[in-house]
Amino acid sequence: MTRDDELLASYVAGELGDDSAEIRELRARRPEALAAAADLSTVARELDAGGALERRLIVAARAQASASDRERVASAFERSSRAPSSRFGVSRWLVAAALVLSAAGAALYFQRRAPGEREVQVLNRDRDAQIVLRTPQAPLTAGVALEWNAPALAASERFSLEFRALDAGGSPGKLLRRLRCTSASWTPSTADLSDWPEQVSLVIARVELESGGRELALSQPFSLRVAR
Amino acid sequence: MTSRPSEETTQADAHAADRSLVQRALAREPRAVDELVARLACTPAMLRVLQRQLGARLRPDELTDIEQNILGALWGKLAGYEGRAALETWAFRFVQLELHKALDRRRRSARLTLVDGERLEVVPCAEPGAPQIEPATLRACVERLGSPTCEIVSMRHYDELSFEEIARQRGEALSAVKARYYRGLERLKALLEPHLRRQL
Repeated sequence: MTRDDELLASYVAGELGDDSAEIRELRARRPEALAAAADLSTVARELDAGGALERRLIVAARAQASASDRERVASAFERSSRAPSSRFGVSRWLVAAALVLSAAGAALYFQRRAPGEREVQVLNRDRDAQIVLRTPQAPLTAGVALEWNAPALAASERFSLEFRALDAGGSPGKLLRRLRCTSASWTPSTADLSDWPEQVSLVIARVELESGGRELALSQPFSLRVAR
Repeated sequence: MTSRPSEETTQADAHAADRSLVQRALAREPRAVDELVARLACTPAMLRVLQRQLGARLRPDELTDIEQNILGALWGKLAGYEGRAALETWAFRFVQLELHKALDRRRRSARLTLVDGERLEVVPCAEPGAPQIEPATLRACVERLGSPTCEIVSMRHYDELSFEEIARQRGEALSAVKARYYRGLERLKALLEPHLRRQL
């Protein structure tokens, strides 16, 4: 790097001003280089403003953190540290025991299911976008089409499907898959469903491609059972 | 820009201390876990503050959903924390990313207001000195510079370190740091060009 480049970097970063002797001398000798550097000062000012805003928001957040925030952060940490993929070395026996219990619970659940009971539940009936899940009324199964009724798509529109895991309280949690379809049907493959939990939520949206995927209509969230 | 304060060394040491705190928490030292949780307890508040700043009107259930994703991602990536920024700054990036992902999905920009039932009008940002470019977009463009330029630019503008301090921390010559910074800004300008035009 030349001495000039160092001076230009200091100028852009605001360490040397227009009135400094080095910059005055550089301007006289290489006006085009200094003009380009002045242009970059706009970027540096944006970065300064962005950095300052970020610091202000963090300070404000620190001041507003509540005891309940702390509790939720702590319990998320606990959950994460108990996860088998974490570095905390959770006993394999504990994981195996949990799996056995889950399997037993699942078996009991299906044994007690009334015959003909629907496998799809509507989680929020307030939302209505005229998108209604038609099939499956049986569990979501690899190779079996998932179909829904909805007004016809315009050429610039697509259906967007978002699958999430359902947590113990029945609320949608971790995002599993998001995909777009040109028709009101999607058939999952075995690979698609291989690592999905037993219950998932699905929201179908009608999106507009030209506006970067703007959602025009959202279905009610559906809860679906995944076949094993 | 003003010259950097004498707390430079303190900032650098603070990041090293944060790295050590994370490592001790990962090793399940109870006091370290408590301290780490206390430090990151502001993460949910960051989400609330940022969504207010963006003017986003998210429902409580949507906020809960985003918060879950943030905390999941945060703890999931904890082992990858390298102490390049303060813990809170590191966490803030997760908040920013998850919130913008959610907002992108909803396409509910704070700066868009429906006028006459038809036309969308850009509502100018009222705060003087506020960035022209959406901070998350700016951050994303800085990250696209790649290592080590991204770190140098971040240390300079987000951590407010002087070039001398950056060179010392990275064990590089001052001239090399300045060269990378300058070239980085040239590339950043090109990356930001479309966003700057859109804002104007």
